[in-house]
Amino acid sequence: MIELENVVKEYPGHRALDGLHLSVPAGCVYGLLGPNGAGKSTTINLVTGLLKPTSGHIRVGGIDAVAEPLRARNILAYVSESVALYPHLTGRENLQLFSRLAGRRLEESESTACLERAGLQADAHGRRIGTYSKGMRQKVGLAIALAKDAKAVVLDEPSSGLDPGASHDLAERVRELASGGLAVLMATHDLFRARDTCDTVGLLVHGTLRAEWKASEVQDHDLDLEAAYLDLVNDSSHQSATSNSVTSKSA
Amino acid sequence: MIGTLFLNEWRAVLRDGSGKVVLLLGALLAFGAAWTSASTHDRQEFAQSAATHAARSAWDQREGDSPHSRAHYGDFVFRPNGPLAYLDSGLQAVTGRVIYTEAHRQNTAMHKPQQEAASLLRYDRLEPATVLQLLAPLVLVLVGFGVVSNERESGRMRLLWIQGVRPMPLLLAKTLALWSLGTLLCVLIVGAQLIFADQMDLGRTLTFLALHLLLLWIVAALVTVVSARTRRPGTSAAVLLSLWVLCGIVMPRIAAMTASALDPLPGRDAFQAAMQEDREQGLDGHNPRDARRQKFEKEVLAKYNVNSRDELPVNLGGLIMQADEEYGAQVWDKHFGELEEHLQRQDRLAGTFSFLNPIQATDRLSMEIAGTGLSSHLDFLRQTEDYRRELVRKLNEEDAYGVTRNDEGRLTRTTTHGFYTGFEAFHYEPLGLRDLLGQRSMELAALFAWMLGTTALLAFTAGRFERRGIL
Repeated sequence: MIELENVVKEYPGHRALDGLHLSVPAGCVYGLLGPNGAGKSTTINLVTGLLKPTSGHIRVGGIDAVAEPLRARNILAYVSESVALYPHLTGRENLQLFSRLAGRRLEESESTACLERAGLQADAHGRRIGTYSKGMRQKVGLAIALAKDAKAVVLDEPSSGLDPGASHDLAERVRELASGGLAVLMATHDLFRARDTCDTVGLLVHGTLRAEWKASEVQDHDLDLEAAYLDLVNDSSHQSATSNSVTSKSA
Repeated sequence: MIGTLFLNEWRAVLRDGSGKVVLLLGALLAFGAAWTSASTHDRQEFAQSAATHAARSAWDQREGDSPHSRAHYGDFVFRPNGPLAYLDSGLQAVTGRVIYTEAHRQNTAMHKPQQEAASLLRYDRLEPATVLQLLAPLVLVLVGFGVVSNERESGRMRLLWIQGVRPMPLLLAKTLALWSLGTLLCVLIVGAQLIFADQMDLGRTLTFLALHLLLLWIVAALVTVVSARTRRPGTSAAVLLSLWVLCGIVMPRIAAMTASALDPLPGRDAFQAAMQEDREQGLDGHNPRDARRQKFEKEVLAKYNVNSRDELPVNLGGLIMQADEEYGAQVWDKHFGELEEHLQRQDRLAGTFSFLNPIQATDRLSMEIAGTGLSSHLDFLRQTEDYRRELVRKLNEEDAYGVTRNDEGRLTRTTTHGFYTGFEAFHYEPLGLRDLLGQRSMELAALFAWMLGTTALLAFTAGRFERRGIL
């Protein structure tokens, strides 16, 4: 459903993504791990069309997201770390507004259903967003994704700053989304939540995918994801330092 | 999509505390400006009406004057308020509205409430035009500086983008929302004025409204573009407030100073001295005055086929006075014509700044629509001089021909009191709107250029977002 093929993103003097290949099929939750600066946000921004790749192909539901960004965005939803909604509107009004912008007019009952499916308690539906916790805002974000009838969802650090209860709740909702046939691409720092929630976990370092583990590998073989992560990240940092050192000597 | 985004902007203004405060302040300003302007206008009208009546009574009741004495007694000419002076009093406070007309002299206007103020600086009054040209743009800046940069900083822009919102509809909706707020202020201000005003010139009022709506569109588009092109709302606010200070306060002064420096007007004393010199020396400077008078006397004697003044059936003094008056008129025409040309040249120079500053273009057009600008003032001076010449001509002719020579050969006056009371008081006919706007084609062109430019900038900014992404 989400496919990245040999994607390169360059900024002046810096290559953020270096030939990234990644595939998230329908019904799969893909956790994208990586240290700061690894290229996770760049990947998210490229998939959502906020940035254009220097080269390579990005497809969402088979649609070329670079050539036909609007069509690709039609079937894509996005939930950020801190879902930014309009503070002067209630949770329900935000859902209705963003759905309408996506071309769908929600009836009262439909918006209630979406908010309930996203796990937002009923007494909060009519309250202004200014009174919401971060977790509640994320539930409205998920409701917006549900209402859009998206085929794929991109989550950017969704559990960051959430208490364990809210984080667990969110993970359950994400699993529900995937079980409904959505492809979920989730950038995260949370190794434990990734292990519990994702079907596939990819490790991005210096703009390249260094490893990819299936849930079965992690769970069945009792893989220590933290140790594997640290090994690969440290190894990459060492290689990078050596490479830089060699480059500077040869220069 | 545009409608949804537009309504959301309005919902934000109406639900947000600061939005309500801005609207309340706007309404207070509208009614405050309308009330102060209307009361000033009424007071001036009342005072002018009383003064006109007093001057006319004094003229009618005066007795024992010869026509030439009456020409020296003179008359006061009052310029009525411009047709929309209650919306924009323009240069009236600077140029003066009362002129004392008399024989031999062309006096300048009196009663200038802002005698000490520079001619083009007039933003010291709370009147509808000031509110619409200075405060309404400021309101749009304060409400709109974060209209796009807030979306970006908060992260909402990403969500809007993913939901399929395209840059052009987004920027257009934001601009329309800001403009509609300005439109509301505009309608409130002009509408409130109509409550207080006892008369209305519909054509001028609608043109005045359209002009200010055009300015507010330019401001709204500019606010949206700056907000879209700056990363943070703080930066956007700083840029927009600087632009407001530049266009509203600094540039009008620079324009006036530049025009004065590049093409300075002669001082009042120099102007009067030059006119006096020509008055004394004659137009070509070769014919002494006495010689001209002697020549004129010979021509009159020849015309009446007599040998001496004592045989003339008319009063030679009246004819000489009129001849002198006509000569004086030529001198005035020459000097005032030069001065008027100079003033218009300087005015055009200051007007070129309209291409740099839409507020200045609006200000100059607004004054002309209101009938309170420079063109109207110069027209008033011309009509006053025409009235003065006609008044003095009639009096001089009566002085010359309102006589009869008795049996003893002495001239006796036949002028009756009814002759004096038959004079019609000065009536100023304001210039038509089309004539006035025709004289401001440069400002109109500048304002339309601004409108097209800012709208194109809006489209260009949207295109840039489309090409490069919104980050």
